[in-house]
Amino acid sequence: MKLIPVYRPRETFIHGLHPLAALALYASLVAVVLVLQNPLYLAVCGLGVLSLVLLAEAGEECRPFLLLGMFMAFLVALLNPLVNRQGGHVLVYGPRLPVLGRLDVTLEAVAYGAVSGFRILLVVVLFGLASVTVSPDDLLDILSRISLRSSLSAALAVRLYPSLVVEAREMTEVQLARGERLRGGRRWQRARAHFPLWMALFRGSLDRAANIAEAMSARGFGSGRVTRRRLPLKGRDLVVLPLSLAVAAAAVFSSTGGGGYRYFPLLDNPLAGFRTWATVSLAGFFALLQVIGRCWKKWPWWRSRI
Amino acid sequence: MLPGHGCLRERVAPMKESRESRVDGNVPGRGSTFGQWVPRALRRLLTACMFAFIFLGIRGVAPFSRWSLNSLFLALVLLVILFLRFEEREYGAREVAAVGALAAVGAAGRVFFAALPGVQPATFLAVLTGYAMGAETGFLAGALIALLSNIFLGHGPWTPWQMLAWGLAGASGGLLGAFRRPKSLLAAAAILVTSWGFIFGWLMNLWFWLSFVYPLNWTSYIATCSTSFWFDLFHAAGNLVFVLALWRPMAEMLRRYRERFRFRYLGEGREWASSGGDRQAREVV
Repeated sequence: MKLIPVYRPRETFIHGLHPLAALALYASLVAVVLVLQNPLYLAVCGLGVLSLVLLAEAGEECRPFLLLGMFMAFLVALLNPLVNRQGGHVLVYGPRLPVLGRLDVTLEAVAYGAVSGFRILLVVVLFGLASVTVSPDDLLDILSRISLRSSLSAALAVRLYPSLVVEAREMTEVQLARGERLRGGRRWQRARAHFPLWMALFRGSLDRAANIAEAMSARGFGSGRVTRRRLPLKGRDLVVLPLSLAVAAAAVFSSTGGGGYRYFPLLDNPLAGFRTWATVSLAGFFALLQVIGRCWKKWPWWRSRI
Repeated sequence: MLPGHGCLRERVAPMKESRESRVDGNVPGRGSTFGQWVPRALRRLLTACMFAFIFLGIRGVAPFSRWSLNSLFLALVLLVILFLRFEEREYGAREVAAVGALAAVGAAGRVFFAALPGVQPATFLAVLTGYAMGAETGFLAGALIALLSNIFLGHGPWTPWQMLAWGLAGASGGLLGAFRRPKSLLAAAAILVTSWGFIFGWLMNLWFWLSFVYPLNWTSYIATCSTSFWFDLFHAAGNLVFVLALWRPMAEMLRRYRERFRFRYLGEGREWASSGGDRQAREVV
């Protein structure tokens, strides 16, 4: 069973961001990817996301997310032409099916499916990058500002999970030593042999919860917050946070009316809706992150200043 | 009477006396993250914003008509609203610790069964928690199972939707409290948890459909759901097996956990009476 979180601490600019700034960066990029329709803008975003992965030195960790995103992209690219009858250029005249109707595949639907597939790939990779660069503890710290009790429950769960897994391993070994058929045999028999194990784990976790509840009560839980971990915003966060929000806001408001690009009934020319200032701004944002990040890595003085 | 019991009762009694309506043994908190009124005000503001957002989106007012972004945003806002609601209720240490433990078990179960597509005990545990500890606690346990297990399996755009779907599954467990007879309860639980195998899949398909499929109509939604049919079927079948094998013993364990902390204060000069026995009540006091 997996015991180690996806998150890996590293000495990079992206890992060093305040969780709020990191979340703002990733949320803004997800918003940009979701609202922009022009494939050229999305290509710029794709290159930008790739540069961020390299900056975070998280290529290896992001690979499973990339594979999953590619599978989902394939599904999206396959599904859209099958359900979309719009578009002026029919590529294939298909048969009539009960629920889906006539399966005519159009060039526009194929293009929309391909671009949507690329979009889901970018979104999955961005979430993956967030998983591997933002510490779960810091994430819970953010959650605790919204809801103290639920974040405390989550923190307890994070703390209980490894001990539960270790306990499960030990109990499995004991059961195996006693001759229980936990391995080998039919799947159903194995599953059946596991049920008493699950029951014991469940009982043990409730006992542990009772002990924790008593300890919490004894330490005055409910009498208000007595400590708070403070993570100060640094210079780099004050650059990344407003810039990310500005990029997202610009993308959302410039996307009104189709984001300068329409797929139906006929494909627009991508260059027609392409605005140089928007591209330069978007590429400049990623370039700025690269410059700051590379300098941060290279010069300790710069790192200490921001 | 236990040694020192009277002394403790004198100290605890005045605080409990003003809150006699609480019989679950939790001492309500006197402070919260934002104070007493901020979570409530924030929740109401967010609810109003959410409905305004949906209204503007349906009317097609730009930029609110981008459902790809809206769906993710609305799911997150709804989660924040429901978390704030949990904060307002001021649950005690018992619920907080129990939710943490149940979320850990659910996450461990989900990670353990990760190799089997669709099969995992998270839905079953969320519904069970909702039944045994109330709809709101069930919601929180379900949402935290998703959040915690994805720390180990990896977050994605599906995380807020999983939190919402499992949270709703947990909340729906509260409906089972209406069934008194054990046999009808087990049958209702089996139907509910098995149904959640499919409902969970349909809810998860919703973000996928809203964000990446065009046009948004019934045909495209049914086609989207058909891609996950086998996963949903395995999920539902797994849920049914978990209910039939584990519901009764685990529900009994959770009931005992609740009873262990339950007591009622009858007033000055009288004994503490608990629903589970005086000895247990005195242990808590």
